[in-house]
Amino acid sequence: MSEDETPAAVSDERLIASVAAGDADALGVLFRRSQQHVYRFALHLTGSPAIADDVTQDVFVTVIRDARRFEAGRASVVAWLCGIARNFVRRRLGPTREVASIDDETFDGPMPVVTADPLSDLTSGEELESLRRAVLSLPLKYREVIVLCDLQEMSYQDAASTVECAVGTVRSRLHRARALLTAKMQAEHKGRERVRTGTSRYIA
Amino acid sequence: MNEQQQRTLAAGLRALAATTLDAGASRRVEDAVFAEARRAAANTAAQKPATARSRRWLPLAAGLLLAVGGGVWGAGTVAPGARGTVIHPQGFMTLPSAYGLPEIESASIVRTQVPLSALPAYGSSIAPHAVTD
Repeated sequence: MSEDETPAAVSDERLIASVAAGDADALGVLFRRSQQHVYRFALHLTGSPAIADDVTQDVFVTVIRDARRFEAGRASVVAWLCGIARNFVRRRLGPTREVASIDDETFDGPMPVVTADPLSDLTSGEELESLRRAVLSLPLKYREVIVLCDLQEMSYQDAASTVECAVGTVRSRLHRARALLTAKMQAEHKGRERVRTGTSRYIA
Repeated sequence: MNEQQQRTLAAGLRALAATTLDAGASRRVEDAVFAEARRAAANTAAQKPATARSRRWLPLAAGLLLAVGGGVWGAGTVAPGARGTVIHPQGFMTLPSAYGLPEIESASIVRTQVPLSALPAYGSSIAPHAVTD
């Protein structure tokens, strides 16, 4: 990054090249520009602000050491950073991930049953919390695509690069992940309804 | 999953994303990352002069490398007692420490990297002015 350039005008790719050359200022600009993407990705995947913090730190320390490994044109810088974050998250979630992979096999079978019942409004406080829990309960490979494509609005191409699979795989995982979420939310809604009905009978 | 459900789920996910829109790493992370960046920059700065110096040695090292390889091949052709001789490599040269070795009947030329500090052990001294040549 040359001195007469305003940081905002410098592309992410140029910043990475400067970081690889040992430019600490470029790292500062890159960090401020993209740390939120990394942090939010880790936060949505783990549900833990502390882990998201640690993963963000690990990602940027890795960038300082290995910036030259970035291949321009293969993926966006944010996708590359999220790919590094994904590896650190997977390491952190170690044993949990094993459980998730067993679920993965289950979900590779038939699609979850989604009834025609309309979903209740998911934007209210209580439903939003349920949705957050439902996302966190998804097997990791489905959670990743939901977080990248639906929560962080990343392109399918970049998401594919982040999770190291084909774009078609991202699409199919996303389709299944959404169906799983819908089924989970319907089940949760029905469970709540039953509790409410039971409580009303008891009161009556 | 019908269209209505898709729309409801999409709205819910958008609302969920909005709850973390301003979320970011803590100050602790920023401090740690910047400290690491400064440390790395200091290391790079410290290594640069050494790198430049070592690059000036490259032509000499390459020449001496050839000398080592060529010396093994041409062993026995130079009189003993030349250990410690200063070499000004112009191409293949005889390795002083190869004296007395039997004639080679067949061989392959291989390219290998030898640290400069190892050259005296092969009998080759480095001319003091070679650094600036």
